[in-house]
Amino acid sequence: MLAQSFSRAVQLLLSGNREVYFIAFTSLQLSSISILISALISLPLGVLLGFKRFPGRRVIIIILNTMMSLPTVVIGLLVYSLISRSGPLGGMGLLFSRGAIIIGQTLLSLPIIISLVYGAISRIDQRLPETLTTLGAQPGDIFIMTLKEGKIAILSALLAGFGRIIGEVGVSMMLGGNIRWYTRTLTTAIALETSKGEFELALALGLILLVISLAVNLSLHWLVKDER
Amino acid sequence: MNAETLFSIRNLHFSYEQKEVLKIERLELKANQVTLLVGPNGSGKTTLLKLINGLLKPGSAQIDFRGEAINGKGYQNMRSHSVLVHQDPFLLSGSVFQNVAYGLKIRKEAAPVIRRKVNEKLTLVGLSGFEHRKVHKLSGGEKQRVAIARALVLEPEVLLLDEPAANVDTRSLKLIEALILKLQERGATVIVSAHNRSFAYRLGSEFLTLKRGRLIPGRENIFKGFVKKQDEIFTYFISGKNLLHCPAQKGDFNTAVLPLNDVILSKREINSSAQNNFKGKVTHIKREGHLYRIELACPLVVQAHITEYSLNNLQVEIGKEFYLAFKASAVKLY
Repeated sequence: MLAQSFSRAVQLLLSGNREVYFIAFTSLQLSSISILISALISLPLGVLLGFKRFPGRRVIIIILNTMMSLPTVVIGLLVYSLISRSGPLGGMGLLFSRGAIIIGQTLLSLPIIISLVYGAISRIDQRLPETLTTLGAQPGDIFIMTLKEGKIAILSALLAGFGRIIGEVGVSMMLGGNIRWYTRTLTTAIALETSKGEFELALALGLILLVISLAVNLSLHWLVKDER
Repeated sequence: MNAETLFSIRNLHFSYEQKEVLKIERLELKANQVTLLVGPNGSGKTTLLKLINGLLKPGSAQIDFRGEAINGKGYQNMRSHSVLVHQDPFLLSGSVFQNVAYGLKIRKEAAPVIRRKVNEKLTLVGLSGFEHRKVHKLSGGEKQRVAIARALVLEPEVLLLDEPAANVDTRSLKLIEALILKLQERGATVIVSAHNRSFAYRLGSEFLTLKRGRLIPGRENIFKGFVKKQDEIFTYFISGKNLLHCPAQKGDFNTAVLPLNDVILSKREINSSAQNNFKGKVTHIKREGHLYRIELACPLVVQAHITEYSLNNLQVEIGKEFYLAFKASAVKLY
C-alpha cells in the first residue's frame, strides 16, 4: 500500500500539479521572508552580544536560550493573542494572513539565529574591533568586516533557522489558518491531507519538504566542512 | 632641540576591574623621535599605548593629542594621524594584500593607488611578492611585518608599536629594527614598547621605564653613537664628540649603556684602572629614594647615583666641577 502511495506521489510531482507547487512555493517564500527579517534583526544584535559587554547581556542570552526550545504552538498562541480580533493588534487584520505566518516564523527563528550568530561572533577574534578602529574604521565598517569574518558560521545560523521554520506546523496552522491558495504551506497541507486520508498528496508534499530539508542540511554540511 | 609635544597626559589613573594598572601624573610624548616604553610584562605598557590611541576610555584623565582631548575634539585628529600595531597582531582572514589594503579601502582610495602603496610598504617590510599569500600560512614574524605594513600604508605621523619584538624570528627582528631606524631618520614619531632590552636600547632615543603602572627613572645612562674602531683590548665608541672605552666586542653597535651606580665622582682627577675619565659641571641634582641623581655635562651628559653621605662629603652643588670615572667593563654595547 505504501509503495503504491509512493509511486502515485511521485507521479503527482512529475505531472506538475499546480496546487502542489503553489503550496511548496508558499512555504519557501514565507520562510525565506521570515529568515530575511530575522537576519536583519539578529545580525546586529548577535554582533552586539558577541563583542560588547553591557549590563543585562547575560539575561538576554539566557532568555534567548530558553526561547530556542519554546514549542511552536506556544509562539503561535502568543502571536494569536496579539493579532486576533480582540487582541491589541487586532485592528490590523493580520490573523489568518501570510503576514501572520511571517511574524510567527520570524519570532520562531529569531532566538536560534541570534544565539548562533552570537556564538559565531564570540568565536571571532576579540581583537578585530580594536584592530579595525585603529586603522580608522567606523562602526559600520567594523560591522561589515565582522560579518565577513564570520560569514560561514553566520550562514550556518541562517540555514539552521530556516530548517526550524520550514518544517514547523504550529505557527502556520494557528496564525495562517491553512487557507487554500493563500496560506496553505507544506506542513499544514500534509497535516490536512493526512487527516483526510489523502496519503498520495501528503506524501508528495512530504517528499518536497524532505528535499528542501536535505538541501538545507547538505549546504550546512558543505559550509562547515569548508570552514575546517 | 625643543620638539613638539604630541601627546600630553595628566592625572592618569587607570584600572581594570578595580585593580589600578597605570598611574601617571604627568607625561609628554614628543614628536619626531623614537620613544621606547620599557618595563617588564604587566607593567602597563600596552594599556598606555591603547589609551593614547583612544582604544581605551581614559576615565577622568586628560589625554591630549596636539593640545586637544582625544576623548573629545582631538579624537578625529589623533585617529587619522596615528595607528597602533598590536602585540601578536590580528590579521583579517584572506591575503596579505587584503590586509594591507584595508585601511586604504575604507578611505575609498582608488584601486591603482592602493596597489602602488601596498606594494611599496610590503617592499619596505621585506615582504615583496607576498601579496597573494594567505595570512594563515605566515610565520609570526611575517604576520608582525604585515601588520606594520598595514599601519604604514596609511602614512601615519605617529606609529605606535606594542612589543614588535615579541614572538618574531631573528630575521624579522632585524628587519623591524632596521625599519624603525629608517623611520626615525625620516623624522617620524614612533612609540614602541619592548621588554627585550637589546632591541629597546638599539632603537630608542627617548626611554620611559614603567614598573607596576608607574613611570620610574631609568637606572642607566644611554649613549647613542657608533663604533670607531675595535682592537683586542677595547671597543672605541663615539657618542657626540666623546670617546668611550668599552669592552672588546665585535659588532655593529649604536648604543652604549652605563649603569648610574658604576660612575665614580671625585674632586680630583684619579689615576685608576678606570679607562673612562671625564671632567664636567654639575647641571642637575635630584633625590631619588635614598640616593641622589647627579647630572654632569662633560660635555657628554653623564648621570650618576651617589649617596647622601657622598653628596655632603664631596659638597656637590650645581655649577661645580667634578671628575668622573668608569671602567670600560661597566659599559655594555648594543
